[in-house]
Amino acid sequence: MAIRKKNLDHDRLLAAGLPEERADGPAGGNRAGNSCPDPDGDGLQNPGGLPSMPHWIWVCMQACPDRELQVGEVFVLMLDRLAEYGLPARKVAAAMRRLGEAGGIGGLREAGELLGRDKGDAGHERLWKLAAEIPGRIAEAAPCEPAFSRFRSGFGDLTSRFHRVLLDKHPKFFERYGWPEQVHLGGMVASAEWLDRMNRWLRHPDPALLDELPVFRRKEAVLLFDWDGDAVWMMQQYWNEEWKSIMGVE
Amino acid sequence: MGARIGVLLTRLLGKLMRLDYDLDGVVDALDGVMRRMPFPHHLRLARYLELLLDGEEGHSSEKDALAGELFFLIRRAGFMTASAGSDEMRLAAQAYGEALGRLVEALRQVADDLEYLALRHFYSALRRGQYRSLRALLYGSSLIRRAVTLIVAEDLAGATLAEAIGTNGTQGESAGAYTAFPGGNAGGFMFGLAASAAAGSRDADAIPGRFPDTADGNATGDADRLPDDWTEIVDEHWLLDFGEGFDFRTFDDDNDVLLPQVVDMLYPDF
Repeated sequence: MAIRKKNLDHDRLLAAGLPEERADGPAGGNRAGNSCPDPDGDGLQNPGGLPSMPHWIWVCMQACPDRELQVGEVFVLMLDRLAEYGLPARKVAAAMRRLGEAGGIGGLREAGELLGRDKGDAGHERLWKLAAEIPGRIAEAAPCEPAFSRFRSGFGDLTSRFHRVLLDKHPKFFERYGWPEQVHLGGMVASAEWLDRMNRWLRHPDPALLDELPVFRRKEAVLLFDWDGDAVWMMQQYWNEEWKSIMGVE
Repeated sequence: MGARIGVLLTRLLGKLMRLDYDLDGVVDALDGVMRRMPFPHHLRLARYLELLLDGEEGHSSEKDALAGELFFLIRRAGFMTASAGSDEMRLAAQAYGEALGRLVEALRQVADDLEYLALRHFYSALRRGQYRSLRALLYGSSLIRRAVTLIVAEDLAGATLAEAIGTNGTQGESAGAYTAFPGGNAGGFMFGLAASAAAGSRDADAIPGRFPDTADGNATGDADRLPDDWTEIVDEHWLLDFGEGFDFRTFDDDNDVLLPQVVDMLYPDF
């Protein structure tokens, strides 16, 4: 069965308050206080005059450690990416901060606070130190009601919103010669699965069950979070410049 | 990248066979290419086909090695067919080109079908929590399309090299061009270019300021480079894990609920 190219009703998606293509690039860059260079001073990350580097790529490739990530680290990356995508992840971070306060768990409170704002280099460094412990701290704080229920329901809402976005956007990936490609939808599906499994774990937050949650290496995280084909697009621009340099073309 | 795609493609085709997916078209087309491939390359392809059809799960170093050089084999065959001197050889080259075209078409059909299944059943599969099958279908169709592009590109690269050497070089040089493996010092304009791109120019700092330095000011290494292509880094489980008890026959259920926008795309005249 041939799949015909079809324009989606973008106005309807926007009216529904769902995230769409970002005309002015993502939030972040130097405005977020990190060290990603900003040569033309537009507040976006576009070193070498190439397209803006999305904040999430900067986080994956620069801030997060180069090894297999732990569940807590994937959790932090996921919330950061969802916030950048325009979904209410910062509400979950705020609920996590309040959960930390209710349980008197400093690490959880601080991680929630850092996740809820622009972090800068120092903030990222601190967050990565706290990240691995987050699931254990959440399990520790589970008896603190109603703060835990609020956190859990906030995370559930976030997951539902992501599913809705996924369902609304998925036909776009099948447009013939469309962009992004299906492989980027695959990243969204894998992210949805991760969120779903995290939700299930939050219903029974036993640290022993954490091993069931999938973890990724750093570069796989780029593949997982490349929902708009940003990383592919950046690499294409990179190789265009390379070939120009090899061929001696300005 | 070609070697990795060859290995992934082989494992994906093996997995699809084990799931009783109908791959007869691809197998027949591969067989046709093998029969028309210039001597002695067809022997490698024949062995590859034999190992592909054995249907055994798990890795075999021989199968991986053959899969890894699949696209290079196509480039070498492209080179040889484009260098055909006699009328008889030109006819054989034409038959090989047609067989390669049938392989490309057969692979495209599989990619189209996987893509169709993913779109047709996306909503229902997501509701049922069949994330893995959806993910495997999406990555699978993208991988097969990458492979199709690579087959065409490698065949063309072989022909281009034959043409370049045929006009500028001697018979001895054309033989020497295939003594080395791709990425090595194989000689010839195309290989030289590809080798320089693959070696020195891959340095992350080749373009000043392209990738930001780390906070302490040190230049970034390869670990800090974005991957060139998703196939370089994809965990093969993302491609092969269709989920527990996945069955193509039950997955392709026409009673699944469709979203209106999917109906618009699939059945525009409905």
